[in-house]
Amino acid sequence: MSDPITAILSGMTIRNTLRDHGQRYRPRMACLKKAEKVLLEMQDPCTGVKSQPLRLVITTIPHAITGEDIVSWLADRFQTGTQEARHLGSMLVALGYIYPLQNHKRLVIKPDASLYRFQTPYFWPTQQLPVEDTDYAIYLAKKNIRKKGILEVYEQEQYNHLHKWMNHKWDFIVMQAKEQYRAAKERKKPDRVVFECQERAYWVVHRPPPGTVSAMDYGLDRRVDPNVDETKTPDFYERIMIFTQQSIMRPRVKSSVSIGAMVKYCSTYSGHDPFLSKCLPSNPWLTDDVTYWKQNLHNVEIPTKMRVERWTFSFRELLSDPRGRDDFRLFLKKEFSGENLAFWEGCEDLKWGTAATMKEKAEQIYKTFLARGAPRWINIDGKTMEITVSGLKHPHRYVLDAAQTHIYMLMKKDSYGRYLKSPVFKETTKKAVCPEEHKFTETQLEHNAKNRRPSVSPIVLWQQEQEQKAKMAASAPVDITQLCRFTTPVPHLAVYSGFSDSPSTDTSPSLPFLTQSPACPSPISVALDSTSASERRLEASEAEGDRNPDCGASVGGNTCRPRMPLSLRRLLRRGCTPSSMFASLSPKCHSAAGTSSRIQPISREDPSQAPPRQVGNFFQIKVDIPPECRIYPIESEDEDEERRAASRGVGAKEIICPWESLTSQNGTS
Amino acid sequence: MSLWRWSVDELALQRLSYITSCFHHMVACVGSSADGHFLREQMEESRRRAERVVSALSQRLLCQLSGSTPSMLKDRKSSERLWVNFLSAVENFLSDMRKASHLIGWFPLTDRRTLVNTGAVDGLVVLEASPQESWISLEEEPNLDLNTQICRTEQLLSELQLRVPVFLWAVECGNPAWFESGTELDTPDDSLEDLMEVVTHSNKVSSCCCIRASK
Repeated sequence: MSDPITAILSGMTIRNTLRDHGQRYRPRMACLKKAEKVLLEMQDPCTGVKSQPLRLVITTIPHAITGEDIVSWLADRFQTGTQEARHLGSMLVALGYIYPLQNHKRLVIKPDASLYRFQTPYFWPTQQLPVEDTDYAIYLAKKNIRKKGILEVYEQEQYNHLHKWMNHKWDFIVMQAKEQYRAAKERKKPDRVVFECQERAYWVVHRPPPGTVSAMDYGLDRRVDPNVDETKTPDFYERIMIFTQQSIMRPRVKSSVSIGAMVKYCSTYSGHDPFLSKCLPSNPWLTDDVTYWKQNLHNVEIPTKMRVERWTFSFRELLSDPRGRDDFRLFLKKEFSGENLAFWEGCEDLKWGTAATMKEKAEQIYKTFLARGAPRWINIDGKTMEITVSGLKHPHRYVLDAAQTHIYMLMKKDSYGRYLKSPVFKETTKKAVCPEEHKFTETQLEHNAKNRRPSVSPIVLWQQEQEQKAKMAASAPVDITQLCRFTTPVPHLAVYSGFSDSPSTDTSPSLPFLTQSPACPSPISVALDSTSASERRLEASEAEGDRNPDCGASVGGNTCRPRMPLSLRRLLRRGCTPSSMFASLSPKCHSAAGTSSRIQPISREDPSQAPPRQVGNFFQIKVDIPPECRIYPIESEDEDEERRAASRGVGAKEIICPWESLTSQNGTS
Repeated sequence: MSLWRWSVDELALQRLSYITSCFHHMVACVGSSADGHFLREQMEESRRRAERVVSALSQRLLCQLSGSTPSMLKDRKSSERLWVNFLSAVENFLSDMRKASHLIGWFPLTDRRTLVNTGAVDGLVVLEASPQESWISLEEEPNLDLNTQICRTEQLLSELQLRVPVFLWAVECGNPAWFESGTELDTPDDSLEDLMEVVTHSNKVSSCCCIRASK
């Protein structure tokens, strides 16, 4: 084999074969050095921990120590209470410096006559030297030999896993296992017993069985070796300088104020902190029962009482909890002020979204929320609006920050308070569930530990969330507002803002426009549809209420014509009044899409054809918009040359983005 | 002819494995109550013997594998397997040596009071003299310091891997999984639970390492 790849690969050491993502350094554990000092002090024959011989059937082994002696020694040494000494002792056991002789899988100190022994320094955890899987494989192979293949379930799993990954050196592992076993036999029996106990204890700490909590089970390795001093490159110094400058520039607060805030925070949250209080029904990390997590998922129907209580702590808590936000959204919908929250969410989306979609999103938000005559216009003060609009000329991630903050404060000061007093919230609080505390026995705990299963993949959860979002966007509930005085309300016509609840439920969530059945079109598909539809609308408006379902035929033979969807603006220029337009766009008017079942696919490549992909095609009528600004639907992105021509000197006010009129290239993107 | 050669290598590898296992047991006692000067001397002895086996075997295997003679596929396969096992053995030994160096530096045996009372009394594993090592015809090296040996072994490892074009993890092991569980033991072994049986006051024998603690 003389290919170049071999040459490169053969330079790697054997050590790197296992799951190497460049991360192989244990995170720094400063406690190890301190623990070692304590351990050595405990050895002193005069001042150390009292030891006694352990009488076994076959022999006697010295240096056994009792739990109570350890605890009292620690309490004495550190001049602290028994409780603290117990915690310290348990930590020493969890780190692997002391091991229990009875019940070797439970790494705690029991302050009674339970027996322990000190671990030999070879098996102490060190910062520098990592725990090798090879050694573990050898240990398992040895155990295999001794027990003739009868290993515990988790050990079997580990064995199979290691056998797969270290297959190339398995012969060596078996050989080494045999030799170590043979060498062990040559030792005296008591020493052999001691060594076997030590080895077993070592692997309980570093490869804990299910249900064992060991302090060395720390998760992922670090990419950088924490023991190595960082080299003083110019980069390093630059980082230090930035850090110190930021420290100097940091705003300061009086300590009384900050401490007061901290006290308030602690007293508010202490009941909710799973470290400080009981976690109902039980803490999954302790009992291996995942009910707690299941009950607190994002989209759960009935939240827990604790969760609902947290929503009352602050507005931020309410918004950051997805379930809380849903509840709030529901409340706002009933109050017809959902646009604030929608705007806020749009801003968040902009801030956290991908850079590629930013410009599009910013435009979208402007058109939907900020522009004069926008369908979901939000009420922000003039100055903020000015800043925002001018910022939108060069949109970036944080361009909407000022407006978002304003809206956030508005919601916080106004809507939030009303929400907490609202029937929606009261209902939710009433329905909230308070789970019973679990009381597991030891057997049940072990059973739970054995039945640990991986949870749903986050990718799957994310996909579900996306689907739900799209579903919501596609079929948002009707948000009926007051009617504009320019329109004559026709009782049997529903006025729509937002998407209609289409009876055809087999809409694909991602593209709601495409699969509408012709019989019951939504206004969107109508708006997106071909010329014939708009022309028919025109006919309908001129005919003033002629809602003949067959009026498709009245427009001379255009079923054969290739259908190019006109911008609705063209419609407006021909002097459509809003009322007839709305009338014609009602789903009750079957003339709208008529027999046309051919719906243009949405394609970006042909801008003249492209219907707006965004969800902006809905109408909302409000009375508080200044009289000269009539409500017109959002135009599509096509035919910008017309748009520009029309923007001067045409009576109808269209919603154009102020930055788009700057350059000719800007519009088509 | 070639069969004879490989069995020598395999035996040598087994020998190395034995020596390193003894070393492993001895290192496990450093710093504990079983530590002592004699133990340390034995450790030195064993690592020197290991060093001799390592250098001899490495030279032999290097000759076999870096040579461009197109050997038979089967020979080549077992040769590679041997190579991988050898490298693994050397690496394993190297990590034990590093630990030994770390521990020896920490517990210099000047004050026996600092040694950890682990319950072990005697850590000695006496290495049997081996007739197989007579084939190792090397000039007598001056006594190697542990740290020097570590450095040399590291260098040797990297050099070996560079010179021999073998895909380490493409090599498959000879035996299936769980094969060793069928190994015939020389003497029937006691389980740890049996060994740890304690004599209680009521003259009843109970196990010291019970798994279920009473609540």
